Formats: sequence, C-alpha cells, structure tokens
Amino acid sequence: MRKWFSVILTFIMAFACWFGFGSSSRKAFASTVEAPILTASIESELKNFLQYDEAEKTRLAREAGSTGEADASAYILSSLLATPGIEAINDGYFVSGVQAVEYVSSNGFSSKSQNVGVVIKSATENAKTVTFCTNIDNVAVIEAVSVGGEPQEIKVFTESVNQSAGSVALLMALARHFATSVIDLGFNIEFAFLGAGAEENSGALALNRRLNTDASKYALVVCVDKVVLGDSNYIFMQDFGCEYASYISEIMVGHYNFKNFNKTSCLAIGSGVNLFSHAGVAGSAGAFYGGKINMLSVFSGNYNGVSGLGNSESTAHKNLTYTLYDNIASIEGTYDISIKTKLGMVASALANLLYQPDFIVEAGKPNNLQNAYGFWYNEKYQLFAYGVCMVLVFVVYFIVYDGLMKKSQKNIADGGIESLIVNIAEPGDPPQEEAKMSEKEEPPKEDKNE
Amino acid sequence: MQNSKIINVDNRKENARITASFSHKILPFLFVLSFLWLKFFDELTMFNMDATAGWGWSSFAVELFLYGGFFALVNFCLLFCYRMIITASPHTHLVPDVAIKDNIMWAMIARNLMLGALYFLCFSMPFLYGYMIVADLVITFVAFIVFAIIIIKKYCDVVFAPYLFKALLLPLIIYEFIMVGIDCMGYFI
Repeated sequence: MRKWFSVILTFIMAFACWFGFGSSSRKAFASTVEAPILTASIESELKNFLQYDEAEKTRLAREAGSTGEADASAYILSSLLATPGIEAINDGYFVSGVQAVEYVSSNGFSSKSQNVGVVIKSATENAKTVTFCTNIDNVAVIEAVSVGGEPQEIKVFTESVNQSAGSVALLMALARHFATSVIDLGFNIEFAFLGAGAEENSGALALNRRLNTDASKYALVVCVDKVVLGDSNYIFMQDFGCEYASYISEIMVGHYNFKNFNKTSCLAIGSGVNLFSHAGVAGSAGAFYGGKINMLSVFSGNYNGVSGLGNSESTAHKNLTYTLYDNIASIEGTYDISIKTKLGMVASALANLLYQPDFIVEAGKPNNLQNAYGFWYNEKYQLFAYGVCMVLVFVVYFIVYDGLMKKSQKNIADGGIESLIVNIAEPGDPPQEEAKMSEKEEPPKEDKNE
Repeated sequence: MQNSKIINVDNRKENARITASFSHKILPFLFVLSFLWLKFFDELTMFNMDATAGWGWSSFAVELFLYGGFFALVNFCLLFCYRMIITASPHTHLVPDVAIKDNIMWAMIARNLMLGALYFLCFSMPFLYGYMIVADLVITFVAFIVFAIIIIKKYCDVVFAPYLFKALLLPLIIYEFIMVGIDCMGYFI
C-alpha cells in the first residue's frame, strides 16, 4: 500500500512540477487575430499588386531602377493612402511618402530608385515607432533562346511571388488591418516598401540612414523577405543573446510554424554592409544587422538535413525563387502550396506580436550589441590578435629551443666532449654492424665515446 | 687525446619498417579525409549561403570532396616544399626521412581534427568565426612542436636536439610570419 502511495505521490509531484515550473511563464499569443481574417485581404492585395486579372501588366517587370518598379511604388503608395488612418511619411528623407534612392548599379552606372513609406500614427505623445519593410523589386530570369538559328539570351520576368510580391501583399494587408483597427496600440507603425533590393539592398540602406538619424525613436525594424515558399517560417534577430530577441522568440517560436534561425550561422566576413552578413539576414534585413535599432528578420524555408539549414526552399526539392516558376499558377497549381494560407499565417503571427500588451516596452529594449559586434567583426582586432599570437608563438619556440640547447650543452660538458663525429649511412652503403637493429630495438642511434 | 663522440646513423631499416607499416599506407587517405573534415563547416555554411542558387550540377558531398580535396592537395604541396627546405639542414639527415614525412602528416591530421571540431562552435557562437584564424595559428604551431619533440625524442641524440628543433620549426615560423604579413598588408592596402 505504501508503495502504491509513493508511486501516486511521485506522479502528482511530477505533474505539479511540470505545470508549475516547466511551462512558459509567458502566455504566448492572445490570438487577437486569426489567420483567416487576414488571408482574404492578402489574396486580393497580391492579385491587385500583380494586376492578375488585367491584360496589361505594368508591374511585372519591376527591376531595380526601372519604370515597372516606379509604377509598383506609386501603386502601393496611392493604394494605401486611400485607406483612412494611413498617412504618407513626411520628413527630411521621405517627401509625401517617397524617398529617393541613388545607387551605383552592378554594371557600374549611377541609377535611381525609390522607397515608399506610410505610417499609422498613434495618439500617444512621443510614441515609439515599429517599422515593417520589404523589397518590391524583382530580378529577371535569363533564358537562352534561338533567334534565327543564333543562340541569344533574353530577360524574362515572372510575377516573383516569393521574391517580393508576396511580402508586399502581406505588408499592405497588415497596414490596412492596423489602420482600420479601432485599437490604438500606443506606438506608430511604419511600412516601408523598398526599391533596388537586388542592388545590394540600396533601398534598405537608404532607409537605415533615415532611421539612424534618430534611432531612439524606433523600437524595432521588421524585415519580411521571401515568406511564400518553405514549410517553416523563421525569425532571426542577433548573433548574441539580448532581451528583446528572447522576448520575440518566446512570443513567436512554436506558433504559426515559426522557428528560430539562431543556431545556423552562415557568416561571410568581408561581404555585406557592415563587413559581415548572416544567412538570417539575406534580404533587406542585412542593412539593419548589427545596428543600434532592434531588428527582426522574417523569412521562410525548409530544413533539408545538414545541407539545408533553413534557408533552402519548399517541399518542391528545388528553389523556385529567381525562376520562371515563381508565380501564382506554378506555386499553387504545380506545387500545391496555398499562398494566401502561408502569407496569412505570417501576417497573423506578426499582428499578434504587436498586439502583445508589453510589446513596445520589451521589443524596444536597447540591444547594446554595437560594441560586441564592433569587436568580434573588426578586422583590425582580428589582425592584432593574429599578430600578438604570432609573437607569442615565436616566444614559445624560443623557450623550447633554449631548453633543448641548455640540455645539449650540459650533455657536452658532462661528457667532456670536444668533438662530434657523425657517420650517416647512405642507401648504397653496406650494412653497419653497430647500426643494425630489430624493429623492437631503439631507433637508429649509436653513441660511442672514445 | 681528444674526447670525441661518434654517432653512427643508419636509417635504412627504420625507413623500410615505416614504409612497410599499415599506418604508412593509409596515411594519405586519412590526410585527405582530415581536410574534408576541416572544410566541412565552411562548405556547409557556404552552401547554405548560396541556397537559392547552389552550384546546380553537384551535390553537397561532391562540393565537399572538391573543396576539401583541393585544400588537401595544396597542403600536400606545402608539405613537399617544407621537406625540401628542411633538407638544407644537415641535422635533419640524422632522422629517417620517412619518419619525418609520416609524422608531419600525422601532425597535420591531428591539427585538422581539432580545428575542424572547433569550427562547430561557430554554430552556436557564430561571432567566433572571425577569430578562427588565431586558433588555426596556435593549433598548427602546437601540432608542429609536438611533431618536432616526438621526432627528437625518438631519433635524435640530445646533443643535436636544439639544432634539429630549429631546422624543423623555422620553416613554419617563417611561413606564418609571411602569412601574417600578407594579411596585414591586405588590410592596410
């Protein structure tokens, strides 16, 4: 009886410990927004942006610096400004919602693009700001064709749903959702649609310059990039642990297929804006990585064993982005992926993050990581450490050499040796009796003192 | 009468013994494998960085073999240069040349295993990556010192130990100084 009692008591204690200490202290997600609410609006946003039902598609080819990109920017701005509660950003950088972006393109020419930005203002005084951003441009697919028997390469544009259109639609739907919401969250929400993403994130860099003129105003920059394809959604914030990153992970990970991307480092020192980059910030987030303002990178992908750490794509076993298959018909038809459901999940997760009552306080906590990044990614420090180690290595070498030399001299002095004679047998020499040895004997050295 | 120490060195049997041993035969394979292990992290993460495109025509395993194999080949050539340089010192002739060749390869294998394992720390602490160059220098040097001491203990008379030590280590020290110099120049230029 006592045995049974102790077993039952053990189980009770185990359950008590599990519920009492094992569960998360934070109740993740108040679930104020359910995915289906945003799903319908995302679908219409995507189709409108891509002029899906129109014969003439002026926004299909929206290469960096092109008229298609400018048209897409103008459409996004005018469409969002038609919604009550959404205002164009107007400051020194944005004029009536448009920020001019000048950059040197990959072919060496000076080019121009633009960012568009809108804001949903809070009535709270000195309210902090959360900025959402994504790239709007796309990259042409180069196709080899034969013209009159001559092989030629032509540029072909597709809808680029995963590349950029999906993220644009998602952010437009989110903007309208927050604008039409009756709740004042107590902070401003900005939406920036960035140009020239394919040109080393020139649009994102321009936005970063603007944000950093008064970094204290901004709580968080959320960069959304390639969120249509992939079984899992990923978030990445910082290499180093910090409070805001733990908070956001706690809220988002485990819901709506969200996972952390912090275990899979993919560093490339020497590339990127701050001389370093990470696979978690492959999109526009690269411009904000390691900066003063807290950054959240959101993207989707698949974990395909060791060779795919989350940045690869989809169950399709091939990457559809940057191919002609990156369009609604292929993704939904051939690969049976529901775009609106996928985007709806990401949108709901982001909306619910913002609806957390302590969001702006927790997400806005300074990361204080500039010194850490500054040290660990500073090439000068690395070279200095390398040089110091080289000197230390030389010192160690000399200490060992000196020790051996003292031993050698002691040996010579103790033996009263005045001269050394070394006979080295050449391959053709007859075997020397005294040098003969079996495999178990001492190695080939024979000492004779005369 | 002058007190002379006569040392008779016949390395032929020892060379023959090492050459006939099993470890000598598998050494080149282990050498290449250790470079695959060393380059595993780099290849894995580079592959991931380029996940949207990839090389297309190959698999991860093929890329790893090409990348690791290439580095093994480069290091094999470096070892050849090293052995050629140390031949200039008469003290290295006291030691069986096959023993030097094999032991230096074992030292490189040990260095690759340790360094390859260290790279895995970068998965949880990616910021360490930039300083792996320092770990590379330290571990390589330690491996060479251990190699030199083993050779000295096993084959060399204590009288010649410092000279052999200098002959075995100095090429590495000069090489590392050149590498640091190139890196520094690369930074300042």
